[in-house]
Amino acid sequence: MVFLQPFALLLLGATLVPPLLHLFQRHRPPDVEFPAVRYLRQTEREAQRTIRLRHLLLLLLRVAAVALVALAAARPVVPGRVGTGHEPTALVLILDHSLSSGAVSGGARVLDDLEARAGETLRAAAPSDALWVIGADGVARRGSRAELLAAVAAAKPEPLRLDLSAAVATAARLVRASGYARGEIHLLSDLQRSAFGSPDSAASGLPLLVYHPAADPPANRGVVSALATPATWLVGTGTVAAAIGGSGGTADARVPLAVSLGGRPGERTLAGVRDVATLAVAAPAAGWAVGEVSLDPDELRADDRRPFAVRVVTPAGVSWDSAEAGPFLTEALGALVRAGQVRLGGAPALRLGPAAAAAGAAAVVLPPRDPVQLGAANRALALAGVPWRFGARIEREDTLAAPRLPEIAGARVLRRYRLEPSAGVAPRSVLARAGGDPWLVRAGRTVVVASRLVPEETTLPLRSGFVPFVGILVDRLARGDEGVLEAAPGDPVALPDNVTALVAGDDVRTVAGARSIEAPVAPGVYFLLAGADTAGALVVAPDPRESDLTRATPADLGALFPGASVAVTASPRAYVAERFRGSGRSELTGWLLAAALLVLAAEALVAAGALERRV
Amino acid sequence: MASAAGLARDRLDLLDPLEVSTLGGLELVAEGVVEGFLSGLHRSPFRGFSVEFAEHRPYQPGDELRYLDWKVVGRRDRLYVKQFVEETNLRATLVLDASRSMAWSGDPEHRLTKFDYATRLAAALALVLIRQRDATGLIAFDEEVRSAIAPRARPGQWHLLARALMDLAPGGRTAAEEALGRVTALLRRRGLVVFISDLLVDRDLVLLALRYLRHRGHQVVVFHVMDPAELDLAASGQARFVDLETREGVVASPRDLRRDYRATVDRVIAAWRRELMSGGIAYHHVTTATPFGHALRRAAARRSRLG
Repeated sequence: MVFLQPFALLLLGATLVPPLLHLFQRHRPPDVEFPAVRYLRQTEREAQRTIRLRHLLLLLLRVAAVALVALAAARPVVPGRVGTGHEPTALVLILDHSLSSGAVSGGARVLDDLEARAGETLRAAAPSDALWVIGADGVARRGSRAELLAAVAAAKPEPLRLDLSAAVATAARLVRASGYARGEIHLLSDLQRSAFGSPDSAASGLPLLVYHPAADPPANRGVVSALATPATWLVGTGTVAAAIGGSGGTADARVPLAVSLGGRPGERTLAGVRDVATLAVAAPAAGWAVGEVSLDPDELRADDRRPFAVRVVTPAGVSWDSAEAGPFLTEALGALVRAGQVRLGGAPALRLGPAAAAAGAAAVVLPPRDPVQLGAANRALALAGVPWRFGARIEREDTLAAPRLPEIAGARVLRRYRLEPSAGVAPRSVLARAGGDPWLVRAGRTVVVASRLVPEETTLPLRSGFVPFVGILVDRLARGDEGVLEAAPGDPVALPDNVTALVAGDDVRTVAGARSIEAPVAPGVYFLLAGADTAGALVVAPDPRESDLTRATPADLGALFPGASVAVTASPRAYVAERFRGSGRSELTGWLLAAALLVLAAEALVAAGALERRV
Repeated sequence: MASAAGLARDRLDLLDPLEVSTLGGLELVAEGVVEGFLSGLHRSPFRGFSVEFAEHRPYQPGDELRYLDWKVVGRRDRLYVKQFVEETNLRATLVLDASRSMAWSGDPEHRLTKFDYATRLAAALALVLIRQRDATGLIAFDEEVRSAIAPRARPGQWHLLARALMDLAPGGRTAAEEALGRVTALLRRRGLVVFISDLLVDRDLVLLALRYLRHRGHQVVVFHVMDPAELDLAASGQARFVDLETREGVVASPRDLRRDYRATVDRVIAAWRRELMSGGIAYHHVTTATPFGHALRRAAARRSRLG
């Protein structure tokens, strides 16, 4: 037996108090006149033995009560499990109420099963335990048993992805920092294999009790991607590329897939896991539109729909100088004109060329063919209020890096001008870089390119993505369109510099000054406002990995948490048996206090004469 | 209910003894008690029967109808009852314990001492008897006879008795057997002896004396007067309980002893009742909270039964 508070054993000295009081009470009491003393004497003579016995019993009971309380204060711990008591434990419950916990498995919702186990464990916790609950957001919350019970009861499937490896690592840190000799980590989850990261020894040496529902994960299909192709549509008809993910069931089974735009139904088709289906849908008017790709409902409803956003435009009116543009750009524009994506002249006007920059007008500014004209081009840029200018000419072969423009990424740049910004230019205005220097930049509705689009300066005109790039340049970039951003709920999102607010319906969230935000938790389309203009859209949709319900095996878990004492169970009874095992020791404080209460109750009964022998 | 309340106001015999005592002196209280007591009876109290006819007297409210002489009623058209020799010559002696132990009340603010209760009860009994033209006397004692008034039925006897009772004060230790011996000497003819005491006496000697009285043909009635606090050991906290007469003390904790003490007292009372009743002696246990009327009524009913 060990004592967690050994200094409290000094309280055992208090057991001397009852005998001392007993002796003190033997001092001469006050005199009271009483006529029937003869009856009193007779009574005392007859009941003397009973009275002495009762006094002795009372003395022993009082000493025992004080001793029990003193021992309880010292918090003794004994080997083995004694009743429901357990050694004080730092317990971290990881309750996985991520999106996949909403799946129905074995006729019951996964989360209901997990919540029941969490509630039982919290109710079994002792006041001396330190308790935390980590939810789907990965945040550890410490609280009293009642507070955490309320939090567990309020948990619902969130469209979040919980990194279980990170959660276990957080739990391990909490347990180690708690100062408790014993600690346990309980992972209550559907154990999606995709929710675990790489092996992590953070929980080494700690008991990790894993509970998952007994039923096998259901077969599931989900829309894991929905992208408008191209990113900007002309009024008429556009297409959406939708990818199907999931797990279980027959691998080649195909499920019905449908698209709609603004509530207007579009094409339907059949698709299987890992298929990318292209679905056409009508875009009747210009402007931003919100659509949805959906599957027939299955056991996990939350991933059966996925939103997308697209900007629908009318063809831009473009004017350019063929001599300055060169044959490849002229040919690409001609192809776009023939395809109806671009029209010649008229409003809205978009000019291409070295001196195209003009205040308030859309323009794509290219370096002049004749270097003598560079000064005029820079003056035009300055007059138009564009914070960029052409600098020194660089003749060095570099590769284009453009994370947001896959059409041009990887192209070679042979010659270019250094694009020099004025002070205060935000990094996000750089759309592509060559050798680390800005190569393609945007300021308002003016796009500046550091090289002429000719094979002598870049290999871009020779690539298949050249014509689509010119289309993006004309229809999107030069219109000030920031495009569509995608993020999972709660993920960090880097916003364009000019964005001032996020809008979803009537809900406006100001983001001015914050260039990086956490994506909203609720899936949907959030429009990016730049002042009064809609500059783009943020599509928040569940992480595609949540659709894969494949469960990690005990062997996987053992490998993921090396050194940890991992116990995996799907049986509520086994879970109850495993929890609070610690070192197999139990704290006796509760029992001792209960015994003290019983002793005090017995003392009260004896003192009241209930146990008195009737004469 | 209003009449019941009025009855309670008029019937002093039914009120709390302390409340009654605050209404006036002993004589006034006794008269009030007896008036109330008699008005509540359907027949005369303390009246036995005998085969030895003595005389007729006019019927009084409360007389038993069975003693009406119907022949006389038929002849004279008036109600007469028959009286018997025994009744007309009843000699009653009230023997009152005036020892130190009687001068005690467990709750002086709310209850009479046993002595005050006993004197008022004795006065009321004397008045009842004298109104029946019975010769009534008084002997008060502690360790010796303190006062002795021979039984008489003459007018003024009751006032004599009342003054004697008022002049009494509780004295020393108890020696009842001497007083009872004095009664034996005083009562040459058979009579009624009413013994009022807390019975904190030498039990065997007193029993012997009372039985001797009974043996001599006297009717004997014993009023055992106790304070409620003596019944239940109402004191709290450990104390040294001191006998008022002997000054001997016992250290005891009422909390420990209360139940056993009550059992002891019950056994003592039961023993007195058993021993006295077996000897043909009437025994009445009263407390200082018992209304005087109740005590009188019990004694009257008992005596009628004994005949």
